[in-house]
Amino acid sequence: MSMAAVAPMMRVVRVREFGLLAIIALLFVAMSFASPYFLTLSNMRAILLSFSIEGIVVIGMTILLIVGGIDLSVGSVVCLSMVIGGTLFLAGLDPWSASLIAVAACGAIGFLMGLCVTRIGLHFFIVSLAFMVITRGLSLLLTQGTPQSLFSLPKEFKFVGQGSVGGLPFVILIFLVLIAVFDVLLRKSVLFRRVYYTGSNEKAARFSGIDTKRTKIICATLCSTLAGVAGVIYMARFGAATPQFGVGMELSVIAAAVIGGASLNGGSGTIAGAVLGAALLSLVTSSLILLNVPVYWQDIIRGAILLVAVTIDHLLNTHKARG
Amino acid sequence: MSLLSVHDIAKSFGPVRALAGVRFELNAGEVHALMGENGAGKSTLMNVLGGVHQPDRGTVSLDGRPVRIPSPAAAQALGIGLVHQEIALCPDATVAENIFMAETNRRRGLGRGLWLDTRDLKRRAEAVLASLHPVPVDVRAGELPIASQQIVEIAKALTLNCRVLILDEPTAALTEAEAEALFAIIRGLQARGIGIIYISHRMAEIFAIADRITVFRDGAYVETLPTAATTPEQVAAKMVGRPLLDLYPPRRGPATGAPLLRVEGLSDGGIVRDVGFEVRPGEIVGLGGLIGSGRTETVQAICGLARRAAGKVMCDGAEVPPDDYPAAVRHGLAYLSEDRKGNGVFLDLPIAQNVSSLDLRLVSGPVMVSRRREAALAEAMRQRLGIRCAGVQQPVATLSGGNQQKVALARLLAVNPRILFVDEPTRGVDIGAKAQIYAILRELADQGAGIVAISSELPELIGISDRILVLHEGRLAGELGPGEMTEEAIMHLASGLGTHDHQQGARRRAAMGDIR
Repeated sequence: MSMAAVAPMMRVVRVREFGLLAIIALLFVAMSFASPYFLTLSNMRAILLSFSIEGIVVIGMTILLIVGGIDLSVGSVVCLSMVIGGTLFLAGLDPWSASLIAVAACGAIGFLMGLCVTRIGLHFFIVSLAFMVITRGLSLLLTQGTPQSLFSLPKEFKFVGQGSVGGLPFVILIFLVLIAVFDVLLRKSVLFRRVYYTGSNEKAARFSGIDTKRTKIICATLCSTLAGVAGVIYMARFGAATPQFGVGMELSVIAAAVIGGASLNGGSGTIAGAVLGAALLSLVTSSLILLNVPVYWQDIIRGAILLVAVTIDHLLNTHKARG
Repeated sequence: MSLLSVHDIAKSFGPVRALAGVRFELNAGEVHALMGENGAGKSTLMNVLGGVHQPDRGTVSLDGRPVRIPSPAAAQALGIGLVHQEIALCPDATVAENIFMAETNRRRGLGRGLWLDTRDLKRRAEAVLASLHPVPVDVRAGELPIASQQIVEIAKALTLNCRVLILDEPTAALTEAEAEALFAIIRGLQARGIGIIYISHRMAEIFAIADRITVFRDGAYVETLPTAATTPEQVAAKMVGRPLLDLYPPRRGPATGAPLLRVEGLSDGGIVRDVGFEVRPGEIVGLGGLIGSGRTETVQAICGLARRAAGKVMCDGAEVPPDDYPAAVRHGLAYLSEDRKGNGVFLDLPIAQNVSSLDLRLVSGPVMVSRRREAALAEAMRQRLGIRCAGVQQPVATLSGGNQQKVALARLLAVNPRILFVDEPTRGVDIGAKAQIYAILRELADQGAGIVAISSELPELIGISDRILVLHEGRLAGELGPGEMTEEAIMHLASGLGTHDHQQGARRRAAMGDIR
């Protein structure tokens, strides 16, 4: 990267992101020494692959967190998308149309949640908790609890989840494009500026003539839609749809966004930060496996990392507020 | 010997020096006012005394003995009660439970047994409140009006047998009559030998209640003066560090032109009924009345921020539609909220993004916001309003109250409003920034805008307005022209024509004098 390109980067990517990058770099160097398998092309690919589909969900979650919402249903929605796609495909529909319908259905769930929040006045946490259970139930209902085998998916469709372009898995390519698009939109577009205003101070946003209800509905819809997109990509990748898929995913997705700087109080967060948060979590998981850490310890360690990350953030913020 | 004495206290937060070796003395039975602009170090000192912050150096002595105050609980144990500006009651607990919350926590007295003796709690709460002001003890604190909540806060401090009571802006949320009642309570506490540190921005209040005044400036001690031997002008000059000649800019002659704004038969379906008035270009119209008289509701209904049940609003001949603030903004109306932190600014966003928030089209194309144009707009506003900041990308939360208010004002000025409604435009703002805000409002009027100003501070209302409309219980009670604007006349109309309130208020105000 040339010096000229660094200067504007400095302004965009702030201290937060540099801190994360530093930690990731540190972990990277340490792991290269600790494990001979770490710095191999196949391991790098595996790490990237492991968080790029989930990363799509992280993008949506970050946006919803910025507007002041939260969505606990994303794991179930990812699964529902997969199951709807699989069911329709098995019923004879072509996989592209099946996927489109699945994504649209997921978007509709987000829209519905947005309506519950803005029209009835319920909290995102409760609404999405209810929808987490409902959509999981729908998945079980559609599959009657048994995994669907979709090995008959056409090759072109499987390419979405399994193919590579010039050595780079197609999934990662999709993820990079989505990062680029949403990063620019979030920083520069009028629509997403309203998202920051609404999340920062909803009343002040209303007093600025912003339709805060509409903004929230858009964000909820977007978050579920992206979860739906992730769902159909998973379907293409695994060639299967299991009704138990994505349990607990909402937690790692929220953790990644929060480590990346999104606040549960709304008003702050960036795509770059959230992606780095997701990368860090995934890197840690992979490192723990390579270091032969017993699997039961892994969740404990990841939870502790989340706690440390938010604590540092909180301390930095209170310091700023006092100064 | 003084009850409380502060010697050479210094405190820094990172690179920011909040206190640079200040001193302060408080006698038993004294009301000692602490004054200074925002950022002068008043709150920091109070937080040191309240055990919230630890000083970097210096000593605090009680009865001549140096004490350490490592925590709020330690402050309470020493008999230092702190009543914060922001009310911090548990809204779902009863008044009695709130009053004894700290004591319960101290694990003696009430908290000794496993169970709370609610009857005893009630009885004791009633006893404490009886010495202050009657407030029902078994209702939930959240159901009380703000004034009563304030009294509960004071009662809370008193149950700790405090000898030093710190009151931080206690009248900020009170009406005139309620403030009057609070002063009576304070005098009662004073008679019981309690030393009171009183922080307020309201000069008239200080001169009504304080025995001595200590002034801080930029984290340093300036001077302590007996109230009887000084004047508001002298105190104000010490606060800003230079003589303050004219707080209020000079008025122009009577506004002529055709009315810019015409309001007819406005009702909001609640308190506001049948309000009508006109505003001409170049004039500042004051809107007076007690808290709860419908001033804010009137203005918000005009702007479309609150429901307009009936009535018509015309701006420059065009009708402004109801319940649609963006449309009102397009017609040239803009509203500065009385609640800056609640809905006036976006605290965690940069200044630049705040300034552009009312109409993003000023700095954006069809889809994208231009950060360059946004920064340029904010920079222009920074220079025009004299906003003190390191740069326009700084979050608003890091600014002082006065500068935050200027950002809130900049948001509105960015859309070039033709009619500007300002609701308590200088609340929580120091005196230097006040003068600047008055000058900005007058300048806007001179450029042909019409301004409607709401203020609970009567000297301010009189000082900035060309004429004053007074509301009483949601109706227009009368209008005062240039020669008729006095505090007595405003209170007379505001209180619904000559009740005792008015008589008392007039007597107090005659004894006070104001800052002008």
